[in-house]
Amino acid sequence: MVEKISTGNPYNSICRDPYLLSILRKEINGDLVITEKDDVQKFVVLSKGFLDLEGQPKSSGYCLVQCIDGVCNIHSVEEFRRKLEEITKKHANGNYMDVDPVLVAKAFSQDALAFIDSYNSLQKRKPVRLYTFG
Amino acid sequence: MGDIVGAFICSISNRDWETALTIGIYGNKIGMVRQGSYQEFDRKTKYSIIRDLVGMKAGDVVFFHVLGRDKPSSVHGVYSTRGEPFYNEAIIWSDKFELFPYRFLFSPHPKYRYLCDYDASIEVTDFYELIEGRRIWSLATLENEVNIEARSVRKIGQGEANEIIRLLHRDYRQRRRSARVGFNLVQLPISATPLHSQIGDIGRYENSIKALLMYKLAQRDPYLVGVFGDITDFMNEVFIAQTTRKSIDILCISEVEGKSAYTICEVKTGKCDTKSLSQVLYYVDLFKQKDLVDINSDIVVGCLIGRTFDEHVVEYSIERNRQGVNGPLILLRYQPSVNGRDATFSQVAGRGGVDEGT
Repeated sequence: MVEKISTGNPYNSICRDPYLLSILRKEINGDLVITEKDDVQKFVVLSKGFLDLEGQPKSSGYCLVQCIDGVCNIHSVEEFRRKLEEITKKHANGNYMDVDPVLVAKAFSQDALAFIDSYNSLQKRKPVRLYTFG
Repeated sequence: MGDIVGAFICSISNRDWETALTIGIYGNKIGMVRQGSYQEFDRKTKYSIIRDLVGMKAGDVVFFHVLGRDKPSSVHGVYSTRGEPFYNEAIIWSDKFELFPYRFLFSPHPKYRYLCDYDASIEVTDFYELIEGRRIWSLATLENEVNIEARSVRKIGQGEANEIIRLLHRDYRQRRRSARVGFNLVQLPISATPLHSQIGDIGRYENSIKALLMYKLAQRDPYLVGVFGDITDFMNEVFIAQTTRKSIDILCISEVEGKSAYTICEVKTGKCDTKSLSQVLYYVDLFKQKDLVDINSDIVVGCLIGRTFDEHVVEYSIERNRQGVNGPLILLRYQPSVNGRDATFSQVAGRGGVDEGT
């Protein structure tokens, strides 16, 4: 459920180059452009794009990545869900299938893991992908 | 808040429409002819007929979908109900087998008497254009389809009723009779029994508990009003995704400080497991994408109704409600009572936590 990535500062890495870490890959996520970021809460919204049959750039959805320097607990999950709701309303007219949520943290508490596991199996939405770093 | 004015569309054959219109009585059938012989419906189907009708009250708005045999179907209106629905077997229509005993009385709607006097109607294709244009959003079709439960009575929203009334006025010059209808309205027969008294087998059939809920919602049951809020409208079997034919069991609509609150109820006869929860959560997400919902201000609530709940369902719902993101999730337990003719309700999880119930 949780993958490990080797970086000391995932937020800076993603802001510098979204493909730098193994979280986002060009061949899967398409052309990524940062549309929104918050250096305090350390979240970034990336627009996924592709070229249509006429060669025009088109959006295929969004990625929301939040990086937590410490342990991600149930309250961090709550805040992340609040942000996910806000971004989904703002960019995707409430369609959760249009937003890929990603949480990166030093570690995850057991209750946070249990809730996300339930969320991913119960909600017909893009699952929350989890990564640890450091 | 005053009484809720509900709206219904009831299907009837062209053969039976003239009698129904003149005397102001509608009946839904109790069986059908199969391979040359008449068979009564099974209990599950009978409860589905009761479920569709029992949420009706005096003064509700009614339209009739008149099924033409040799001509296109049409939608007629505007009528209003005279009293609550009832069960009665007195012979009204000249069908060889069918008595159409699930009934209600109606009369021309007092505001639209002029339309009824000349049997105003619209073509059913115009009605379907309202569906295509999402002005009618709770129905997918009036036709009976192989993969959808056959229904003759459908509850619709007040806004949808206004759309039909608009078309009836738009086409009135072209689509009216030349001679005035000679109304000769019948009164409620002494032998009639209230339709809600036909509800039984609660705990055994999903349609039974749904029928009871529809009845209690129409009666503004204080406990359910406490759970769902000050309801301004409610409907059953509402299409949430027309193309995939997915429907909500019961939809309750209320107004909270100028915002609309929609409660999507999924009803299970027995235990509500994670699959049921997943279903209601999916329906909440789908509903939020409907044109009528303002995702920035309206509230969409999920509600799972059953006799028992899987432990994991309860734990997840309570934690989700504590977080307060994506709208509340209500778990409503029912317990059959009065030998399966009634039920008591209690909240296992909800906006205000857990309560003791009725």
